[in-house]
Amino acid sequence: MKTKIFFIIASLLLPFGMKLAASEPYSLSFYLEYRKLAEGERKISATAKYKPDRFWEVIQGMKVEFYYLNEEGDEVLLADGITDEKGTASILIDPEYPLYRNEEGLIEFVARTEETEKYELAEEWLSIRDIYLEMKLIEDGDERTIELHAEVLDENGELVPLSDEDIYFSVPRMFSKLPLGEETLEDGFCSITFPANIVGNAEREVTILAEIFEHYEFGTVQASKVSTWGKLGSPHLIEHPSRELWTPVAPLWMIITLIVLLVGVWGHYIYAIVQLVLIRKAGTRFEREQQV
Amino acid sequence: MDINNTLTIDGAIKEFAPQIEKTSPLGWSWITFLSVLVLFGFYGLYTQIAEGHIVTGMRDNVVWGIYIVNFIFFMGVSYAGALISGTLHLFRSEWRKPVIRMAEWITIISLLIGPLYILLCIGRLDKLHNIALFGRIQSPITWDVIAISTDIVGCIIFLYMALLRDFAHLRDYPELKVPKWKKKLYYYFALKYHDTPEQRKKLNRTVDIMAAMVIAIAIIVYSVLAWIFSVTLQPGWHSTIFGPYFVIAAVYSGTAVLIVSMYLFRKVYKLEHVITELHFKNMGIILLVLGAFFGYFTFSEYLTKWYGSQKNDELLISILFDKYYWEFVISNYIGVLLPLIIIGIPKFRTIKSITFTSLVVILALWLNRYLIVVPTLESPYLPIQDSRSAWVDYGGTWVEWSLTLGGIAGFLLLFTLASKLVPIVQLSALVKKDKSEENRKSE
Amino acid sequence: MTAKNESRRSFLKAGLSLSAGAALGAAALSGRADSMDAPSEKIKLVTADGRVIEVEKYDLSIDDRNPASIEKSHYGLPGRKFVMVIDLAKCKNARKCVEKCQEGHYLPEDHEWLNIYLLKDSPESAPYWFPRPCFQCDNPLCVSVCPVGATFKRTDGIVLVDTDRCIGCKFCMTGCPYSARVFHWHEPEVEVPEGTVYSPETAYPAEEGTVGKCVFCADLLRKNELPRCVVACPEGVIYFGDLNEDTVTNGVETMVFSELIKNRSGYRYHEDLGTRPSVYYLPPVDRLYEVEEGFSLHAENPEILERYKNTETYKKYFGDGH
Repeated sequence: MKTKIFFIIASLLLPFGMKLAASEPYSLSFYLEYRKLAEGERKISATAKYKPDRFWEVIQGMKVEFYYLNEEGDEVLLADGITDEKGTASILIDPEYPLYRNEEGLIEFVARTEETEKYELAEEWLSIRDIYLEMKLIEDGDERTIELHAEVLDENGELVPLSDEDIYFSVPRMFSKLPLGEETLEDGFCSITFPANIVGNAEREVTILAEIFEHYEFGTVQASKVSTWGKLGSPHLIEHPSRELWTPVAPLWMIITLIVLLVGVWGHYIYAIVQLVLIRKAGTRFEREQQV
Repeated sequence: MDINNTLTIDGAIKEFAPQIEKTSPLGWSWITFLSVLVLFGFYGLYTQIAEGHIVTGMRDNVVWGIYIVNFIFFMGVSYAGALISGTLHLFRSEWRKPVIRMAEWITIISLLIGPLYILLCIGRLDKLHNIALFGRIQSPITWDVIAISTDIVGCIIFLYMALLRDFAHLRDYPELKVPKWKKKLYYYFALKYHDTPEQRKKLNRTVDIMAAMVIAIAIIVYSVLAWIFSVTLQPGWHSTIFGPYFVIAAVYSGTAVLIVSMYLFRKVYKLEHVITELHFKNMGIILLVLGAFFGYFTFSEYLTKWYGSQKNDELLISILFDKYYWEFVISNYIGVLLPLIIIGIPKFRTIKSITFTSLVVILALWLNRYLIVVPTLESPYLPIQDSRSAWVDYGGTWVEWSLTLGGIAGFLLLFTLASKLVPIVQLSALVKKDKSEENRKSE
Repeated sequence: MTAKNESRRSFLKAGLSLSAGAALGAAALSGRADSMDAPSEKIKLVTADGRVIEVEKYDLSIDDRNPASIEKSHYGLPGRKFVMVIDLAKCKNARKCVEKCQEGHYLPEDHEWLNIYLLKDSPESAPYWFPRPCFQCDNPLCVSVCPVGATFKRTDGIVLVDTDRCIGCKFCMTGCPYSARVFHWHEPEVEVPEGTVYSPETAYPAEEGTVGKCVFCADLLRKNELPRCVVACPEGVIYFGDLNEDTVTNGVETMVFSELIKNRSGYRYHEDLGTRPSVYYLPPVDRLYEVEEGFSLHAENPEILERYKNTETYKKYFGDGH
C-alpha cells in the first residue's frame, strides 16, 4: 500500500522531475571489457551509455581514464581514450608492461569518466587473473588436430594447468568467426579436429583462433595460429574481365562493324558533299563563260 | 499525267508561285493555331524540367510511356521519305514525281521531332554530353544516337539535292513576288546550278547514291530502335523479329502519313490536276501491301507468344486482351483489316476512302507502339508488388499529352512552313523538257 | 548446462566482434580486422616502458573509412567476391531490412531498393515471402546497356551506379529483369547530414532524375561491417559473406557457404535468364512462420498491406470484398 502511494506521488511529480533532470547531470551505465589478445597485448574497453528518455543511448566523444593499482593501492594512470560512435573507449597494454599483481595474484584495473555538467562521474573496477593459452597444430597424415594448452597464474605466482573451462575454436572471417567447435579443458589441455571443408587463401592459409570467452576472472583470452590446412577454393574473381558486353571495352567485332558501317556511310556523305562543291565550281565556271 | 507534256518550267513556276508568294488569312490562323499548341507543349516541357519527371505518369514499373511511343512513331513516319522516295527514285517510277517532295519533307521534319521525345525520357538533360564523353558502344542507346544523327545528315543531304534544281528555277524566275531574303536564299542554295551537262551528270549520280544510302540507313536506324527493346530480357520485347517488324510498321505509318498529307495539300493548294486519283491508288496499293506485311508480322509475333504460352508471355497476352482490349482491336485488327478491305476491293478505292484508311492506320500504328511499350512494362518477371499502389498504373498526364500535341503541331507547322519555302510539288519533275531525266534514261 | 548454453550463445553473438588480436592473426588471411570498433581510427597503446603511443587500429588508411571517392568506388575490395544467401523459410515480411535500408542510405520514402514480394509459384504451391535486393549479377544486363558507363561492375562483384555520370535514360531499369532499379522521379526529400560527400558506395546525397539500386552496402563492407539489411533482420533471414572465404553469416550464425547451399538446396532466382546473380535463395521448407504473419504484422499499416492486394493470399486472408 505504501509503495502504491509512493508510486502515485512519484508519477504526479514526474513532470517536475523531468524538468529538474534537464539541469541535473545524467547517471551513466558504464562497463568494462577485458581481452588478452593472441600476442599477449591486453585490451581494455569501456562503454558508456545514458538514458535521456526511455532508451539507453551511447555517448560519443567522452574521455575515459584507465588506471591500474600498484603495491600501495594507488591508482597509476595507464592512458586515456575517447568513446567512439558505439560509446566505447579502448586502450592496449603491451605484454611487457609491468603490472602489479596483488596477494591473490590478480591485476586490478580502474576506469573512470570525467564529471561534466551533463553526466555524472562513473567508474568501474576489474580484477583479472592472468592465464596463458598456447596453440599447437598437429598434422598426422590426413588427421589434423588443434591442441590447446592452458595455464593459469595462481595466487602463489605459479603457473598451474587450467581445467574445466570451455575453449571455443573458430576461423576468423571477414565479418565473423566461423566456429570449429568447443571443447572443455582437462588438466590444462584440450584438442579438436580441424575439418576438411574450410577454405583457405591461395596459399591454403587459414587462421585458427582459440579463446576463452568473457570469463568472470580471466576476461576474454585468445590464442591464434596460421595453418596451411585450408582447402583450395575456386577463386571467384573478376580481375581482368574479357570483352564481355558489360565490361568497359566493347567486343572487337562490334567495334569493327561500327567502324566499317560508319566509314562506309559517312564516306558516301563526304562524296556527295564534294560533288555539290564541284557542281558549284562548275556553275561558277559556267557563269564566267556566259559573261564572256 | 498530260500536265507534264504541256508545262514549261516557267509555266510551272507561275502556277505554283502563289503557294510561296502569299498566305491566306486562313493560312495565318492555321499557323497561329499550331504555334499556340507548340507553346503549350513548351509549357509542359517547362513544368517537367522544373518539377522533375514526377509530373509524368511514368513510375518505377512503367519507366517509359507516351514519350517513347511518340519517339517510335515519329521515327516511323520518317520512313515516308527514306523508303518511299528513295525506292521510287531508284525504280524510276514516273508517277512518284508530284509526291516525292512531300515524302522528303515528312522525313526530315519527323526526324527532327522524333528524337526530341527520347530526350524527354532522359532524367538529366544537363548531363547529356556524357554520351559524347563516355559513350559505350555496347549500348543500343549509343547505336541509336549514332544511327539517328547519321540518318538526319543523310536525309538532309538527300532532300537538299532534290531541292537543288527547284532552287535554281526559282532563282532564275525574276517575276517571283517573294521577300528579298527568300530570293537571296534561293540564290545561295542554288549553288550556281545551271543544268550544264557536267552539273547534271554529277547531280544525278550523287542523288542515286544518296537514295541508296538513305534506304540502307533508314533500315538500320529503325532496327537499332527495335533493338533497344529486344536486347532486353523483358517478355514482350525479347523478340528476334522486332527489327523487321519495326521497319515494316515504320514504312506502313510513313506511307499513311504521306497519303494524308497528299490529300491535305491537294485540297489546300488546289493540286487536283497534279496529284490525281492515280497517285492515291498507287500509294494505296503500297499501303495495302505494307499492311499485309504488318499484319503478318504482328500475327507471328503474338501467335508464337500465345501458342507457347510461357508464364510471362501468357501474362502479357492476358493483359493485352483484357486491359487493352479495344486498343488491341483497333491497332492489330482494324489497322490491318481496314486497308485490306477498302483498298483491296477496287470498288471501294476512292481518294476519300484511301485517305480515311490512312488516318485509321496512323492511329492504329500509334496504338501498336503503345501496346508494345507499356503492357510489357506492366508484366515483369517479378510481379508488380510492394510498390505504392498509386504508382502502379500508368496513364499519360497532361504534361505528356501537351508535349505529344505540341510535337504533332510542331510537325504540321514545320510542314506548312516548308511548303511556303519551296513549292510542295517538285517543279523540275513536272516539266517534260527536263533533259536530265531523258538523258539519264538513255544512259 | 544452461549456463553453458548461455555462454555459447554469447560466444556465437560475439562472432561478430572480432578482437583486434584475432584480426592481427587474421590479417594474414584477409588483411582487415576488428569490425567492432571500426569507426575511430586510433587507439592508445601503453608500451613496455610505460610510454603511451597511438597506433592504427588496423592497417587501413583513414581514407579507407571515409566514403570512397567515385574513382575509388570503381575498384572492388581486393580478393573479395561477395555473396548473399536469403533463407525463405524464415522470412515473415517483418520489413526491418527495408526500414534500415531506407534509413541507412537516406532514401526517400517512395524510393525503395529492397522489395519483399509475396510469391506463389503455381496454383497449388504455397505462397512465401521473397525479399529481393539487387542480385549484383555476374552478367549484368543493366551494365551492358548503359550508354555512358554510369553503372559498372567491380572486381568484388558489386554493381554500383555513379549518379554523377548517370543521364537518367532508364535503359538499365528495363534491362534488369528483376525490377531491382528505381528512379528518383523528383527531388529526393531527405535530410542528409551536412557536408556529406557523394560516393557511389553510399549512393547519397541522391540526385533527381537518376537511377538508384541496392549497393550491398559497399560503404560498410569497406569497414568489414555487414550490410544493413543483414543486421536489421530479426529472424536472421539474410546471410552475407565473401565467396572466396566460403563463409556466410547473418550476424549471429556463421556457416560454410558451400555446405549451406548443398544441404539446403540453395538456388538462384531465374537461373534461366543467364544473369548469374550473386544472391542465393534457400527454399521455404520447414518454415518458422505462417505466411499470413506477414500481413498481421502490418495490420496497423494499410499502405503496406495494400501493396499485396492483388495476390491470391491477400484475397484469401482478408476476403475478396476487402
